[in-house]
Amino acid sequence: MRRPKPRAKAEPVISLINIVFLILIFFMVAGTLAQPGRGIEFVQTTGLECCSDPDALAISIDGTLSYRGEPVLEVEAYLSSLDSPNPLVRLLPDQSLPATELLRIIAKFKSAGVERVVILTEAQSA
Amino acid sequence: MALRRPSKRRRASITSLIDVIFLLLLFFMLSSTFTRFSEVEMVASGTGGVASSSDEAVDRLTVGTDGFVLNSVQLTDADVASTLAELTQDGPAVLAVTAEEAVTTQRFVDALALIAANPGLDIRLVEPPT
Repeated sequence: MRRPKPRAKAEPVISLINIVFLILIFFMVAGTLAQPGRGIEFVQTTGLECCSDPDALAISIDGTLSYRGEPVLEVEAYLSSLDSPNPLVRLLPDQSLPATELLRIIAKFKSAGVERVVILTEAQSA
Repeated sequence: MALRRPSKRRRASITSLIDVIFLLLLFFMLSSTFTRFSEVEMVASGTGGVASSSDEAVDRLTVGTDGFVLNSVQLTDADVASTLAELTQDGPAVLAVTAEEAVTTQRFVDALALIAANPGLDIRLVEPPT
């Protein structure tokens, strides 16, 4: 009877690291770090073009605005924080927000001179 | 000066490497989201209302919780597409869209998807009367 070589003990650790590396790479590639609108239930849509930038002005269920976790009190204050003179405004409304409230907010942006307003919805795979 | 290399270098410890990799893994697992977003264009008519397009006939569509009101005619979800198709039979039509108080954003976006299926319509979102 021979004792196994001491090198053989290192192999399980190497394969463990391989798998952990694979999981790490998966999460780095597949996930996005931006977390828009904490506590917002997204509007669900199917069949629309997927995967746009999730950086948006969130509108909570009671109509309050927030951007990257910071509350936004005035539409003009948000617009002046944007760099470009004629920005595309991206809104992320809660799905239970009254649509009349959404229309009022959109109208505020339009009267502030914004030409394009889009709202972000969660893309459901059909 | 005698800079002698040690004759035998110790191998770097693999445990600290694993520690760091686990930390990175934990960070990415907890901070990443897999939500995919789509965009829905909101074409509003601004402060001028629909009056800016006085040369065209403007139809008014109000989104309700389970149906539509087109020029004060009640419509269901099922027949709104055919009714809107009749509007666009003789050229493009302007449609002023607004919502009732009880309508949620989810319902409104679903309704917009129904309306936008008709390519001949020029959709303008209008602020509801207060």
